[in-house]
Amino acid sequence: MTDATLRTILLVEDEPTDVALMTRAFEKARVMNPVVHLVDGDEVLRYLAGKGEYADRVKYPLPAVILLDLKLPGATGMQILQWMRVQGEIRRIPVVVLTSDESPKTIDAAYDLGANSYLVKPGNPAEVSRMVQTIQQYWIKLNEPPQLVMRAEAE
Amino acid sequence: MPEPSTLTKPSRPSIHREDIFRRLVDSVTDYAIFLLDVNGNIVSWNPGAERLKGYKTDEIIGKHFSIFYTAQDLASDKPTRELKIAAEVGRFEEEGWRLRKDGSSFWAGVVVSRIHDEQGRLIGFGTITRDLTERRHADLRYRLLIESVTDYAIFSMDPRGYITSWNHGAQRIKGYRAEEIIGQNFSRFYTEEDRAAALPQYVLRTAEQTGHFTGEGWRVRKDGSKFWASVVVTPLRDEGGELFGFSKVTRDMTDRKLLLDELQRHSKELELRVQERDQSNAELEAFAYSVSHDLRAPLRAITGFAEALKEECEGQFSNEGREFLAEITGAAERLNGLIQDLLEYGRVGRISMPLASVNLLDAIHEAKRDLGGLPPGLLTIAVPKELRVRAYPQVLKQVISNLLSNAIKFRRENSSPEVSVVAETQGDTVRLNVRDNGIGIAPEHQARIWNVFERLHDREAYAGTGIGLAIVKRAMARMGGTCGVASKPGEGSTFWIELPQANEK
Amino acid sequence: MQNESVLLVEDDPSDFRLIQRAFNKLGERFEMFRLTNGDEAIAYLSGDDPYENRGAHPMPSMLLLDLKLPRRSGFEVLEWVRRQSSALSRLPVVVLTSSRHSVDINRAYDLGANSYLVKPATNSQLEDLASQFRNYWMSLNEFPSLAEQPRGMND
Repeated sequence: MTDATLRTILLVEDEPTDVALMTRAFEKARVMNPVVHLVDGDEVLRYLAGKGEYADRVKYPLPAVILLDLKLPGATGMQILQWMRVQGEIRRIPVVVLTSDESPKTIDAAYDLGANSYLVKPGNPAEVSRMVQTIQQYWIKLNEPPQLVMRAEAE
Repeated sequence: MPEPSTLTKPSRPSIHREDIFRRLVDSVTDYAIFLLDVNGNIVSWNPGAERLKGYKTDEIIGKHFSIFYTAQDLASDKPTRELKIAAEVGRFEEEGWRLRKDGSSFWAGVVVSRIHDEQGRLIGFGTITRDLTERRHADLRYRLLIESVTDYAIFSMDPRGYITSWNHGAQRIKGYRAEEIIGQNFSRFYTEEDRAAALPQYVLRTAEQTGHFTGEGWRVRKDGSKFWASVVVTPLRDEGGELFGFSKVTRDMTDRKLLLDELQRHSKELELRVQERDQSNAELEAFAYSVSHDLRAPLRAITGFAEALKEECEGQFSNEGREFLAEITGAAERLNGLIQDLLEYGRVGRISMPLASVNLLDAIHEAKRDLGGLPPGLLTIAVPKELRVRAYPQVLKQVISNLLSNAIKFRRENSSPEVSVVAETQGDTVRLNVRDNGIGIAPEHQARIWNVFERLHDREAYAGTGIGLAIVKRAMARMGGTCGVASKPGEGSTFWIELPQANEK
Repeated sequence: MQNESVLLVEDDPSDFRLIQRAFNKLGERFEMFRLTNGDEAIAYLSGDDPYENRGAHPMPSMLLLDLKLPRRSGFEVLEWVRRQSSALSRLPVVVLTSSRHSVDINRAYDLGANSYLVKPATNSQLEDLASQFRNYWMSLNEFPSLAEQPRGMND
């Protein structure tokens, strides 16, 4: 993953209003990177594990960063974090928890399960927009992503 | 002859008839014929029984017939079962091992029938036993058709591994003559280590349980010398499925083993050489890595502080001072580029992954993208879509990128560059030509340009590290390809690379 | 920006000076302490002598960690932090180093680094980095608590 514009963002969010806000924010920030949007925790596991259609890593590449809501249908955000920890290369992928839960216990638990960062969803669209821009600048342009082999390894 | 004590006398004795039968029985010496009472105790004996089993009449009468059975059979309560079957069904018949008085075993054909009185009550059993050992050997020989075979040692053993037959091949391979080996245990053919590890027993057990044992290993001849054997052991079973021994076929594989050992030695050597090469590659890699890392730190300092100086003190500098500062920054940048190119050059020589089938057009497009935006119309590409070459994908991209970059860079003054990339197939080989309309290269220089740090022009005329073509040359060599140039000063240059064509992915 | 602070572990004086200069140029500043080797870093985080006084030597909110350090390497410090049984194991660690080697990048993520940044060549790039770093970690990110607390969700 050398070219920053090719790095994929995996957005895991099932709340339609939040999805709309995020999508708009990505557009405004002129984020050129491919954004994969999933709404179900089990689907996320399948994606990361390369099951089924996701085995095609050219079409469904492993992301350079995952934006992860905690409240999801299927596997929860915490369960996804837990699952990733015991995988092979997958566990290197940075996960930014992006959720409405502000409680210190949840924050602590997320870090304990290996979250790289924790962001609280802001209230208004302007702040969401700023947040998305900062996320893109930091995690896509600045941060060095792990080097992953393109095929899926996870069980 | 003593009267049988437990047999109930028939109500109407027919002594005359009884007498004739007795005489009949007594005259038979080939068969053991004797009577048992309802509990299985022996109540009569005949010369055949004495000859076959070794007991005299007075020492056997009254004893239980189970003394003729092997320990294995006793453990599984075979005698009692046989009587039960005979009593219920009328008759029991089998072939099996029986013991003589001296403890030796023989292969017996046995028939046990029940005897009842006129009221139908069981009053005892009659037994006829025949020694079948010889017949079984004959069967064996017949079955295996091996007597004359000399390439294979074929012999048979009893269930405990004692040899019961021997063929010419066995004599030839193992050195023993039949008469000196029959009756010995086959474990003597195994090495001491194998015997200590209970391998012979394992072989028999495996053969018995799974139907065969196949393996290779060292065996010992009569003279103590070892040979590499390929062996197959199969169990021999009678019609009832009972195990009566094993058959073993051994082949002398020493020659083949020596050949295999030689091959293995060679491949081990090869492995070692590859390991050494990989190790020296790894050392080079580590060296290059630490070089780049350690060189870059002071480089960062130079660049960083030069810039900081510029920011803080620019106002205080003379023009000359500002120029000097720019020189420092420029030099630091070039140093950075040199380090990067040197690293690339080193990396290209150390690739150890396998070659792949690469789509040529894709590689060209990727190289083009790496160069950033090119003005439209500058570059023409004439390469078939499906054309594939055998190469390292990343390296090929780098090569094409370097050639394109040169083609564009060495342009003629006041002339816009035009570059064409054309592919030709000649048999199995693909040649990629990168033609430009630039300044061209004089013939006397066309060899030098491929060397590291070779530049034909000063820095002011054309920027560059002088490593680009050296990387191309090294890369092509690593991929099993070639490269070259055709050029005239003022008329542009055509740089070409050749690679083997590849088939599908 | 609350009271977030960064513990920078950087042994090269030139690099440190340039980094410090870049961060100082930022409008909104935050506390940054500096140590020069791995042993010192661990002693600081452990509260060992001479860092027992948490008034003078407060716990940082996160670590900015070079990999090539004298005494214990950055990798060893990272490993040590993640190995702690106390809440300290949650300490966010951002690697800031000159190596772009995938071996180092992957190893850092495997050992639990939250993020990996490569020291850029020029000052202006370094200033960009400082700005993105501040914008993301100091203004946006939610930090875990590092003091001992009864653990919540992952019991």
